[in-house]
Amino acid sequence: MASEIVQKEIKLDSGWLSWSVEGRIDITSADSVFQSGEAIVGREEKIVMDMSGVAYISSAGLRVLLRLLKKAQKEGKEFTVAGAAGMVKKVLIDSSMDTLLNMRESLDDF
Amino acid sequence: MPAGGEGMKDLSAWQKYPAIREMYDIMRDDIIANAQAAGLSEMREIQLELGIEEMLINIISYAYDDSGDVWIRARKEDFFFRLDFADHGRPFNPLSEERCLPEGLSAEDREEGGLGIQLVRKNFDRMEYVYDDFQGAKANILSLWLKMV
Repeated sequence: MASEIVQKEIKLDSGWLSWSVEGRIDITSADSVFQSGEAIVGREEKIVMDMSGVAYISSAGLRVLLRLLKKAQKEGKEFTVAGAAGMVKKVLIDSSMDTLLNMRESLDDF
Repeated sequence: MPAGGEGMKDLSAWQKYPAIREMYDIMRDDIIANAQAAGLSEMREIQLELGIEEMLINIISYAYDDSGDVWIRARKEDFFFRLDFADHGRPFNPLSEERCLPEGLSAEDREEGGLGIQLVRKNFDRMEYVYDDFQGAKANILSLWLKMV
């Protein structure tokens, strides 16, 4: 089963860039998601990844988030996630990535 | 997701697959089809899939310097769905990884490796590892148990 990812960007009134990702972030899609995220972090100052449409994430996906966070911090930018639910939220908490990413409940916080 | 049916590969006995990335989707779908046929709840299926991805990708990526095979067995065992992987690659005991998921580390200090095995530990009810004779050679044999409901 191929992991098809749908992505959308919305500039919020607060100045944050909402990067919405829908689908599964697994070994199949991780490289593609990272490439998209790398470009976004490269040109935006404040990025929130909307994960409300992500149904599955594995350690390959966690590594993507960690690499994007490291890149943002290195460049003096902000990168966080919001909207994670179900299995995705559990994996983020189990891996302590929720605190590292300063995870928010929803985009309403931005 | 695939549903169990007439075309399903029966994994109640060991089945051999080439341990290559191109076979990953087939192996995953075969295991999930067997789990569905055994009655694993939908809630548990996503946990099973996490274990399949983390363990199989680990074997595919690191077990062999060159080519090699992975054997898979998957079936209901009492109140659990039991999943077994075996390979003739370099010895590796995932249970010896004592490292806990790090808390309080900065992103810069956080390592990118080792997350997968820790996630499997969090999501499965029981794990066992032996390095023993299997199919004519020493093998890593890893077993995972997940509650059916």
